[in-house]
Amino acid sequence: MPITAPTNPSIYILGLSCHYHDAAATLLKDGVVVAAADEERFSRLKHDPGFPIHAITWCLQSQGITVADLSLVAWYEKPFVKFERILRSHLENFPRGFKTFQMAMPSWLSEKIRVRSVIRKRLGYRGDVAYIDHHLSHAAGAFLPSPYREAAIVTVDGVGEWTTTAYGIGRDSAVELLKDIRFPHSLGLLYSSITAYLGFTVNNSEYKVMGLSPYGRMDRSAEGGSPQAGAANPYYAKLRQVIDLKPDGSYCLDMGYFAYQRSDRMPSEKLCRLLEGDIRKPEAELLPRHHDIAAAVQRITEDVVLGMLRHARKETGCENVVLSGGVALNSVCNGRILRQTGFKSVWIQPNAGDGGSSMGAALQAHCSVLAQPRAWRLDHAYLGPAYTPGQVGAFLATRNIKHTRFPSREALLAEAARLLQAGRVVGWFQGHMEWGPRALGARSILANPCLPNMQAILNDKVKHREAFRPFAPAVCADDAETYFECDLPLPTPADFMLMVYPIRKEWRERLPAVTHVDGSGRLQTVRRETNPLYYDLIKDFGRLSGIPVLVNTSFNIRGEPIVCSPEDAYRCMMGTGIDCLFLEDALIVREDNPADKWDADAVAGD
Amino acid sequence: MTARFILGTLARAGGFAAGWAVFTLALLVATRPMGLGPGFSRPLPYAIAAIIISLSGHLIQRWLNEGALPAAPANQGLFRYIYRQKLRGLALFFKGTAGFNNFIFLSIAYFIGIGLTSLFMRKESSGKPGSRPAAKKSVPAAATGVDPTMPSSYWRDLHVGKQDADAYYRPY
Repeated sequence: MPITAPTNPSIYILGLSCHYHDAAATLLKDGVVVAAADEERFSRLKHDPGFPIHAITWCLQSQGITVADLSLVAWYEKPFVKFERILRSHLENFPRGFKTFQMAMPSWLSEKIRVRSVIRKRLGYRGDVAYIDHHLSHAAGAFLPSPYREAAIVTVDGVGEWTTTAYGIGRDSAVELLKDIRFPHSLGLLYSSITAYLGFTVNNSEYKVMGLSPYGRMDRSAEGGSPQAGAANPYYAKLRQVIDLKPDGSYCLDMGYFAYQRSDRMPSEKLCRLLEGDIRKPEAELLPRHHDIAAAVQRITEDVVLGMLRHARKETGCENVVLSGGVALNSVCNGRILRQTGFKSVWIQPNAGDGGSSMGAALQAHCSVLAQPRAWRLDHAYLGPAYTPGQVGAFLATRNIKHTRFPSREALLAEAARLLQAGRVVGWFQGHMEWGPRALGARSILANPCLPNMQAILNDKVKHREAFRPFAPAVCADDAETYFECDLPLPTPADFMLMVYPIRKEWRERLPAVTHVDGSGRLQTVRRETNPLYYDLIKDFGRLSGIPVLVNTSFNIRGEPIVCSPEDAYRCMMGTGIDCLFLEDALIVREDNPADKWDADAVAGD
Repeated sequence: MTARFILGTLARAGGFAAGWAVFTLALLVATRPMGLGPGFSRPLPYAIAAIIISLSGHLIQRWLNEGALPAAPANQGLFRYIYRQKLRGLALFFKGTAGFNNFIFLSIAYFIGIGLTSLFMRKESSGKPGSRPAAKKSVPAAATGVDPTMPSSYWRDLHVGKQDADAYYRPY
């Protein structure tokens, strides 16, 4: 990138997170997040861990600035402290960590520990770099964009430098973490270990375990840790042997059951013996015992998180709580927070995992390093790239794609609602791309949830994913209470598809495509003030179908990230069974462009 | 398409052979001062050593689950494609030698650096109560009841918040 003299009087801070999974970049202008995106959307590599050069380039271009205009780069962790933890683990586990040492060191020595020189080399940036502790980045990413002036903060993920779990308090522009639990004791890694045991990929498929858990036996009304809770599911009692859980929500793992601290596998032989079987092979059938194990680990996760939230409530005295870290993406657990912890309000940022740490690092740098007051709150997740109708038109013309353009917004909405009512699977590409792992109505596949065969259609023609995984319902915020037994007032994280609530019994049979086996739904609530087009579409569909609810699933080919550009969206539609695509103000029908059809099954990954 | 594929494969093989030749020459030159091997008159043993090093490196990388080289983009002109394939072959050879070298150096670092330090650490800590590494602690099952030797809470004091500005500029 060219280096020129700074020309812009504004303060720009670039927040970065990368090197492990979900690389991302966030750009702040005078304390306001003006651009944020995950690298995977540009590189097309799911969970891309690499340096987020494409995301950075887009962030800078979106504001018409260059690297020379940056006042500061904020990095989302302290690399030397993390390196110390890795060396310490190898010291403690010598000689069993030989292989992981061989695996880890080349990348550590070549780039992970040399953050400043990597930034200088890749960006040409010569200014200051601020290093924010990993969990402080998480905490800042949870509290500083939240609507609260004061809130308890709880962060739970795999591991940062040393910390795996922490709680603290945020007031105005200040974030403080009070207590923590350290590696190797990690709730996130416990969940990931069971994910690996069940034959799914770590740091990718934890949500599949969450989706599988309702199939397992569990007395969900029983108190956590009680004999009743595990009476129906023997694996619950077994997994409780793995973790010592205190009444204050703190915990300690029996490390004999895990191998992640010394090898490249996560569960140990001892855990396999405890769970009465070897690690499931990915292609093997899912048995009832796998369902029970998923239910048990999900329930234990809820026990731990709800326990520590109750403790944080007592210790901080706050009525509001913000959550961050990968475990905060566990929407089943999130749905129980307000009912069972004493907090009156909860907020979770849409990109609660490591990707969101880039935002946290940048905001913390703004508030603490540059000592500026908070200037922004996150009201919506639409912080990524957008394409103008002109750009879309140019793309369609270049590729000679047959399409129809709508003269008005109303005409577009009417046609989209009609197609959805007719049972068509619709690609919906509108406005700025979402920040975080969920498709929230900007890069979504939409469908009619009332059709009994819609789940099968979506799985067969489009998503090719495991049959046990449900699809998510999207509903306007003012209709949510009608269809869901949700908290009131409706928590904002529901806008980001981060809460699971029971669907009201009377609607379950009428919404078969989005009702999970236990009657729950991972709803997305839509507000007119944040996405008016999407809101109006759901309402228009409701007028035709009688139920203003849509299936909303991510716009991607299995194993690929969610689409970013019109090219990605068109390619995805032509490779799958999506019937039509609303690309801004243009409608493309798959059957009208037969020459561009291809089979996405051939490239589908996990 | 087939001709393009064949040309690409030949270019890749050529690149690999070029890497092999360069590394063989490097081995020859590097071992001369030490008097190892038969010298320039019989390069075959050096060539064999070079290919063994590269192939061993690939086997080590497979054992370490390291990914293959990224695929070259398909939509490029023929000459550029052939040039890329040649570079790819070259990279394939040197990826193996780099893997082998890394393995040797890191093994030395591991067994001498980590190993000796670990032994000293264990010797120092042996005999001191409660000094066993945390990773080896065994936690009694919650179901087995309260163990009076266990702490009542696993929370540790942290108190990380606003720091001095200098602290933010340090990577540690």
